[in-house]
Amino acid sequence: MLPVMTVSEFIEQVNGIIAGEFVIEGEVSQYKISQGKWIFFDLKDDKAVVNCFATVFNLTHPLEDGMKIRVLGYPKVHDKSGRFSVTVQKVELVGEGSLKKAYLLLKKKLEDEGLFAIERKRALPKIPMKVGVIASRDSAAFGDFIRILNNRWGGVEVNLFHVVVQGEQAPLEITQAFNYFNTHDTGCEVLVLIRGGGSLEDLAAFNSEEVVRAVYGSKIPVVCGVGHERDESLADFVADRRASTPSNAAEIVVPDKADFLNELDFSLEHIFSSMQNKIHRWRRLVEQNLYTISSVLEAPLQKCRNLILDFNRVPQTLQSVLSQRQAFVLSAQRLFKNVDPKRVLKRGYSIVKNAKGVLVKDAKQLDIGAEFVVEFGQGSVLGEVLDPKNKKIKQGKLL
Amino acid sequence: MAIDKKFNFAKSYQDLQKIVEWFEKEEVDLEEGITKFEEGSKIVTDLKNYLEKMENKIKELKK
Repeated sequence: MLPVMTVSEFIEQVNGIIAGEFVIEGEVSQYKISQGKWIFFDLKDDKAVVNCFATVFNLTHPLEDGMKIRVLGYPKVHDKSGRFSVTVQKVELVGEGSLKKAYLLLKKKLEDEGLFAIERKRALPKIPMKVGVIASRDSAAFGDFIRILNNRWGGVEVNLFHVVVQGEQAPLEITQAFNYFNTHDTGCEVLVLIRGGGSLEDLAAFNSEEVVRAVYGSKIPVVCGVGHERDESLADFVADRRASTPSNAAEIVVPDKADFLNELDFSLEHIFSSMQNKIHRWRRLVEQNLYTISSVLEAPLQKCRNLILDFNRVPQTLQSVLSQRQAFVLSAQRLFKNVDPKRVLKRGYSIVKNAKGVLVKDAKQLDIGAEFVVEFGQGSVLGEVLDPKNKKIKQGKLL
Repeated sequence: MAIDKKFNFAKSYQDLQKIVEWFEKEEVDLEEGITKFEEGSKIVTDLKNYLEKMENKIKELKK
């Protein structure tokens, strides 16, 4: 006779019997997230289906219907619903297809979050003195990086933080490396994350959310160079600069010595010609100023010179004035000779003057009894007016 | 190595850039220009000298 048990006792017993960890491989379907925390999906193959339950915290890969995965979990019958499901502890992607899908899903999610935004890319130092490198010490990637670095430049201190770049430990070690550089005072001005190329599975660490967030959160600018040129990783997208290969990362981090020497020569030439240019300009300025000053000083000097010239002309002017006067005097003399009344008297005319010596031109000027003097060509006589009536006649005679 | 340990390459390069920028200005003082030019020439010589002689150093960090 079987013992009778309560439902609770039954479920408890069943859970005891089926307890244990299992790894189950199947395809995801009916994937849904509840309240942003709980994840429900079915795992199925051609013939069977099993319910799965997980929390967002232990699901590291984004899932989607149709993806092939391997689930590590334990089976359980739930008290309240009586439902049987597998509680998922860990999910592993199986096959290139799933990896590709998970990669694209995560890429989309991080892109939407703004982790790859161009605006947040920082400038790298032009000439770093200290460079932090996160790589595997024996990898070809690190060897290539150092070779190109040495070919191009000198004087850089490389601080290598050795990590494994593949396998389960890789994401943790890489995030630890970023953490180390960001919390220790190493003086590194740029961080370089490099590894060789590989399949999507090989590059899993560089596509993991932890590594992408570590790159995103780094205070020091990051250059990421993974594999060959055609390989891309999410770490590339989030880095401040994406290098196509580890060698290219070295080319990005340091300038080329030959280019730099050219630049130095150019700089020197530039400041030299600039200096020369300015000196020429100054010289022109000085000459101009000198010209202005001398022309200002020249003006009064010229005035003075003109004055002397004018002064030298004075005697000449005086001479000509003198001769003019002399000529005038001579001609006046000639004129005077012609109009001399004495010459007229010699021709028989006489002059009558009154007692006061004033020339008499009119008979009316002489009254009866008035004395007058008559001047002849030779000598003179004193007369007296006897009859003023005949003045006119007398006058006529006199004239 | 005949390089002064205190010589800071990046700093010197920055100084040189500043001098080049200074010369870009339209109006510069003649005396200061000559000083800056001499300074620039010296930095270029130092930088070249440094580049000739310096090698990269690699150090692995202990975790």
